[in-house]
Amino acid sequence: MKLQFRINPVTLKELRQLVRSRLILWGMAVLPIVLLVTTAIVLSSEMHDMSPMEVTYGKGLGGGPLIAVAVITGIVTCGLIPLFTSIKTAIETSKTSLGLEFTTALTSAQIATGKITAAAIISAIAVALAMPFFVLSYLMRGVELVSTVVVPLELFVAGIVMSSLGLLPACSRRPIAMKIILLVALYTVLPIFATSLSAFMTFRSWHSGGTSSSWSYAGIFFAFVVPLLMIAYCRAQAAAELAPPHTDFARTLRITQIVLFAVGYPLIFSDEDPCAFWSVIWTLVAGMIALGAASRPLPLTRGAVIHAPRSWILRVLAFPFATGSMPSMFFAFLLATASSSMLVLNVGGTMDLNVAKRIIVLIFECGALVVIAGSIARMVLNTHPRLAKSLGKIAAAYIAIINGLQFLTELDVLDRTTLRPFPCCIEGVRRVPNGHLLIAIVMVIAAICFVMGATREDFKRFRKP
Amino acid sequence: MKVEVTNLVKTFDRGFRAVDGLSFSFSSGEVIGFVGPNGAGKTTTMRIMSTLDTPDSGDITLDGISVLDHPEQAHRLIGFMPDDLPSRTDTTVDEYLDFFARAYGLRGAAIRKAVEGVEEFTGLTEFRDRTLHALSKGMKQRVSLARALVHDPAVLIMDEPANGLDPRARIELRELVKALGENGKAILISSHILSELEEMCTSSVIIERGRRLNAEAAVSAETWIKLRFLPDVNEKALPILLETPGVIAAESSGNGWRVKTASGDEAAAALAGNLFARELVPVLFEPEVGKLEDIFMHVTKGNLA
Repeated sequence: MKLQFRINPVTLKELRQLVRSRLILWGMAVLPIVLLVTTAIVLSSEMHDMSPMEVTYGKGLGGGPLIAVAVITGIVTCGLIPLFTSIKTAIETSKTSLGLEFTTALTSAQIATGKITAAAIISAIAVALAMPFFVLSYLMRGVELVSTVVVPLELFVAGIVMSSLGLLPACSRRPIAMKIILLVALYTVLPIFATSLSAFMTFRSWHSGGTSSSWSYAGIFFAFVVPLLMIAYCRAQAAAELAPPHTDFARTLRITQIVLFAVGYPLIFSDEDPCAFWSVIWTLVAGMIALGAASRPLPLTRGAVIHAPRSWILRVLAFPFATGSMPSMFFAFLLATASSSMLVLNVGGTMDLNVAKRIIVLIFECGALVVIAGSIARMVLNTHPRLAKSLGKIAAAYIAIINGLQFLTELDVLDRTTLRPFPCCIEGVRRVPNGHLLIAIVMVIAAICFVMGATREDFKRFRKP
Repeated sequence: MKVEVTNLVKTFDRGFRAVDGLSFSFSSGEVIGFVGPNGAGKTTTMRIMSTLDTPDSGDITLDGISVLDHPEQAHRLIGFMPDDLPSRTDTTVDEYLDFFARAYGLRGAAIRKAVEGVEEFTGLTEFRDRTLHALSKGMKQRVSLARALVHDPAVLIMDEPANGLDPRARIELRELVKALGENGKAILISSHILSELEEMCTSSVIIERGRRLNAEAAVSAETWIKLRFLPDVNEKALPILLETPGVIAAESSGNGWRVKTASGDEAAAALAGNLFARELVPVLFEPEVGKLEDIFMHVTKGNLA
């Protein structure tokens, strides 16, 4: 079969639309000019700063331009292209146009893949346009050949990861305005963890202290496996969000979650910094999953019931994969527990990581409370799901306020006595790390018990018709 | 192809039942008018039939195959035309249809054949290179119909296809629907323009508050026929009309007559036969359009859900 018929129809459609987009066309036309001007300015600055001796002995130039070109290309591949693709997807998912695609033979996974692939192709074009400037840096003997190859590759991979991450809010079932706010927030807040956005970048920063890089297991893992896992996860999550309700939409997502956990879990035993960054990112993701699963539990789908095993034992084993909230919550809390414990035990006290820890604790505890409150309400008041959600939100808001105040006391902005009137006040991570962990474990166990109880009716229905 | 909707129930938030035990069926070659006030559950039913939504209970089968249990098979058999128009403004007509042809799994030469076929059928050939935003509402509606037909489905579901169209576009759409029905497609079409539905549909399903209403009693009660004669014989016609078997009543209407007969073609045939036998040749003899409107007004209560 010809290549054009092998291409995912969604990729083809996205590329056709991107080619027609003036923003993309102008962006691609202007990018080389910006890179050329920047390179010229940085080069002249480098030459100006060199002594006559260095010029005479041919000291290499190009280190500065490489960084400048990488930053500009990174803004395009990791910021603008993902933002453009995500907002476009967010608008599409809010209209009937994407719904119509589900009356065709296309699956939601194909749609998610098509969008990621199209973004990857545009990113590849942007990196290709920047490539002559990377090569120029090498030809001026300022950087190693490895960097000339690896840095553009990093930018390309990071760009795909960012586009994939953008699909999560873009494909969620929220109002369009909320989606766009989330997307803008995503691409604004994430640079705080800039070094950890791409695990590949993390690998680079990991070795930044030394003059040469050695390819260890962890290095290769972070360079290739982690980005692939992140893309796979985002694709599965987006596909599950997009899929129409009569399909067993979350099966791929559940399998991906388990694989992610199985592959990622051993990292908690590592004492390398990249593991901490990996942990930060995935705990945040896990927190979001927990919140989503708890506040909007997925029903047992007709598709899942049809595919239920006949054997009772197999049904018990398959059930956690069949209903949305259970596996999502399990995954989220297993990951959160692992990551939190690793963070508390291994990570030093830099400001960035303290902020990260605070966010993790916040999401983690809010998520757990939402799960518990929501599950109790679902059990007791099965006919009042809105009340269940409201209870969960109130509980989460309470914990959020407590944590916010606690954080301010840790920064010595507030006096510790301010917190006395609040019951259930949890001590800060920095002061009592293990206390936090203990509370977290108790909440996890409680949440699992409650959710298991709350989903027992679903289990009764989980049998082949 | 037989489409059977059985005891369909769909409940939304706060227990609102959009569809409440709805059942009906139709087959190839039939064009079914799906009629009801706003909020009656028409769009919800059509979305469920198109696999875009799922019911709380009930089923929809296509020749015995459940749409809900086997959506992937249903996708090949159903074409859905929603009430809103294509929104990808930066795509040409040809690219739009090409995308959907590929999405329906067509490959190779079959894609071009299908796209060109539906472009020709819907009269879009000369507009194929125009972007969607450059098209009029009527043309966009044709694109929407072409998209629904690109994989040659056996069942066509059309939600308010004439909504917002000018008279010419409506007439053209009506002719296309008639042609599709004659080609053997099973068509379910909803519209608020009942006179138009009446002209293109073989029968209708009237729903209100998610339930099917019994229109049979209203349909079987009576039929009105419009008649007009040459002016010199017009006055002589009344006694002949009244003595014809099957005629219930006759009344003056403009420069002609409105005759109420028993329902069915037999009564109309008897009336025509009697008139010709008495050498009273009408210049106009037609069933009064608006029967569906009468039935609709008769059976619905105007309750919005």
